[in-house]
Amino acid sequence: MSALFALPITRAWLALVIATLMVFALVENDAPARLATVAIVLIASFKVRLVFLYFMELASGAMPWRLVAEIWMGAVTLLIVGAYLITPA
Amino acid sequence: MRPPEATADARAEDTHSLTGQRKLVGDEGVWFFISADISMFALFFLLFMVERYKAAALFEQSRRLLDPALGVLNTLILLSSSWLVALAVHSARAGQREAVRRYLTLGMLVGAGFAVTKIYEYWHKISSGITLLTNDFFMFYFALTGLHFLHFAVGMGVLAVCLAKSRSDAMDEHFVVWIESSGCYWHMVDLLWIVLFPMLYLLHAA
Repeated sequence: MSALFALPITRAWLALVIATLMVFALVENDAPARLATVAIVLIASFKVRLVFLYFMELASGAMPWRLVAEIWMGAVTLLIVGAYLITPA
Repeated sequence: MRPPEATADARAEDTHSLTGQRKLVGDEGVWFFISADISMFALFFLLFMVERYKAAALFEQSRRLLDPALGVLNTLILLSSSWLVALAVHSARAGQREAVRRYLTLGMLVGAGFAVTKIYEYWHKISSGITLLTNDFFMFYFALTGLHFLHFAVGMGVLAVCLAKSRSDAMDEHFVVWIESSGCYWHMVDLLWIVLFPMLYLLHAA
């Protein structure tokens, strides 16, 4: 069991679960809407990165796919946060 | 072909080149597919955000009809299923057939929970009179989650093939590449949901 928890994929999974529960806490606690929403999207971006790096094992190289993953993640995050912030409330 | 017992050590050597850079996990063709697929979804995200900009009030009103608790539950289900499939890949490299089968079975069982939750959610919406034709938000909601669900169903099929192969095939390099490629596809289903969930359920109008 301890060997299981020593694996990077297990530590990544735990971080992903904690990040998801943090999102749920933000939703449930009525945090200031605009700030909380941006935080939620940034947490999602962090989670996507963990999936790419640890579950899909791009953490230690594998170019050009690592670059594709980083660019995709950055572009999608920028798109959602940017469009959200410029949309009239 | 290497004997199964030699697979773990050989695989560990194979995943690192002389330059120290790790080789790609899975088949390169699968990575081309994944790149094309996530790019297509990025385009859909752009279309959604443009339409949301044009009709923010309608999108906010409609978004409030979704249950974020179900979205969180589905996220936890897919993350856990992905982790179990990653453990199956790890076990395949070590030539541990029983562990591969155990983790794949668990990964599919946990993953099936996503289908149960999603079907419940669709049934609830449709029985309340909300469909693809209700408005632009729900057109995007049903189209995007439906397309994602199609990817999920294909992923479950791919995992089932892996499970069948793990019964009879040798735990060799060929099988490892097969399960790595299948695992990468399954993780893509997971990461697309990680973006879809906040975009559809949680973009709160201030």
